[in-house]
Amino acid sequence: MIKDFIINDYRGLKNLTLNDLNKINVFVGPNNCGKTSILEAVILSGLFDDIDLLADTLKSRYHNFSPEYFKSLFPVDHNSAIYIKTRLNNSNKTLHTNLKYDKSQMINNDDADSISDIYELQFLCSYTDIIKDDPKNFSIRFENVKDGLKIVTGKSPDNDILNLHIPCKFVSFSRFEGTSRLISDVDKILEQNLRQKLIDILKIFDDKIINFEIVGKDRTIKLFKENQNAPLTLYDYGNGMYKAFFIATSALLSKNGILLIDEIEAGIHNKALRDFIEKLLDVCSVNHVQVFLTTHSLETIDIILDDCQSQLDDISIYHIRSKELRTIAKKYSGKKLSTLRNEIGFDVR
Amino acid sequence: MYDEYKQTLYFSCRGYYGLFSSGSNPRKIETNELSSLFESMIGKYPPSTGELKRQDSPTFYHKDNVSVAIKQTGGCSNIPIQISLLSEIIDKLDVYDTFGGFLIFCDTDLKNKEAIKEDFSKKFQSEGILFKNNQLEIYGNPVPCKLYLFPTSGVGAIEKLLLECSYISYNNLCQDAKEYRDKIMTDDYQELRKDCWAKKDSIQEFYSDKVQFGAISTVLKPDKPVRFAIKDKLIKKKYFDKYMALPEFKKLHNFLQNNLV
Repeated sequence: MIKDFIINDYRGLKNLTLNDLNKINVFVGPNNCGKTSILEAVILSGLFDDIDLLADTLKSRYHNFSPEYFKSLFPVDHNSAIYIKTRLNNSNKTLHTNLKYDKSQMINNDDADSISDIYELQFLCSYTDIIKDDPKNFSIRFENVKDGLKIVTGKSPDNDILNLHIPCKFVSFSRFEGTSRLISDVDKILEQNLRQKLIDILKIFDDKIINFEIVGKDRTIKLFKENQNAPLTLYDYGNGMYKAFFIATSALLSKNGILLIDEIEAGIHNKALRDFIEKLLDVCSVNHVQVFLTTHSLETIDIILDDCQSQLDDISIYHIRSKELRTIAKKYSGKKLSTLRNEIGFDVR
Repeated sequence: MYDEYKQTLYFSCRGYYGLFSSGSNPRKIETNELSSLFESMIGKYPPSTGELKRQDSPTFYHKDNVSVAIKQTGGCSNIPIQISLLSEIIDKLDVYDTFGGFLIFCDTDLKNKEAIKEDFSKKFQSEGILFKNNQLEIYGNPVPCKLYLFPTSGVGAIEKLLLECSYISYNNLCQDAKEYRDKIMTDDYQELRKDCWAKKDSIQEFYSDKVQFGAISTVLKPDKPVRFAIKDKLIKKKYFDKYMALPEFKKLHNFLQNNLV
């Protein structure tokens, strides 16, 4: 479990400190205060040996990722590198992650007259304050080719420092294009015999669902219902079901790891929201998953507080805002916020 | 709308409404005119899953460059915790610069004034707030907080002041109510008073003020006899100069003038 997290500089987040993180961490605040950026920064901390997740996170906001976005994310200035400090619960050590961005050029093999831009994001990780440009640290390389940016995953993170293997899943409402990741996640669900657990969650949205399969050459997810011969594809359902499928799959695969969900309530009707969140938190509790959520919904906050009445100590709610040159996170314990909500109808958003 | 006004004060009191003024009357503010601070004080409560309970919003007034929120706390002992909860709104919105402070109005009842102030300090301290020298310290930020106890001399409650004003506004009615009060204070009703009010004789006088005021309220507002309040125009503008001749009224007026203007 991540205990403390400090983001020096990433997107709009400046000098943000999150101490004593909890099992369930909820981030609220106005638009553009940096809630989603916090989730992205957790992934960019370098804790997780999932290069695809890292690459997807960088591209997630943009329909067509291009070098222009790289420039805005990572200024080519040694002093402006992102610096993230992470302390894990089961260790007294603090992992320092310094992200450096480098740009270079190379001559294309196929066409000697053509020069490509290369962008490299280097994850320099260390358990001390001294960050060395060590070849053991891993990097992701993006090559600017004709059709866009090609990700060439650089050195694999098979170094001793990052031998952590912490599972991590990131679900964002805007990342519906991650279908290929959903299919591979469903494969893992089936491999790990978690089929029934997933069906139990999907029944919240349609209680007639009895099964699901990945079918055909194009590997479409199909859902089977009681008294219905022809199954429906996941796309036949609305966005709420699609998102719930994604979240539920991610939660089940995050055992002993971290689950990050952006705007959990988006697309889910309020009648299903309570049951869904309760089920989700139950899965996370049983599987020792540390949860990071963002939300704009007071209803979602009330459901979480209500569901965890006997475990309010396991919840922290952070209100994020910018002030002068810093990002401030005002922390409320589950107990404190529950009192504020009930006594004065406090709106923490 | 009123964020630009410096003096945005909040009353936390036992149940008294209204602003005392020799000028124009304060205007009740509509919901869509509220500042972000006052709007946040209205409260968005979670759906009730248990016993239904009434949730009061403050009442808001505005006059000249002063905006006021008035809230009942259901007893003086609840005031520190209520202010502690409301201070979270001030902190979240970071409006320390524009928030004028808290005014607390409380009855002395039969207690010693110093003991009441000490009790307030302890209760604030248990909420993590320092209360000293008419000031609260909220997350390291100083916020003015002044305490006004009724009456300013002796012991009692606001009913003493209300009765003094009632003698001016409704003299005949007040005199008749006094006769009723005196009758209830005779030996004929001693057993009833001991059963319903208090055993001690010293406390009987305290409750008799409430009886007299209750009798007046019953006549002035027969459909809701126990809910007559200052905002129902017990205090009339035309008698303002006569009210100001009452020491207790003058003290209260001056306190409000000094802290609101």
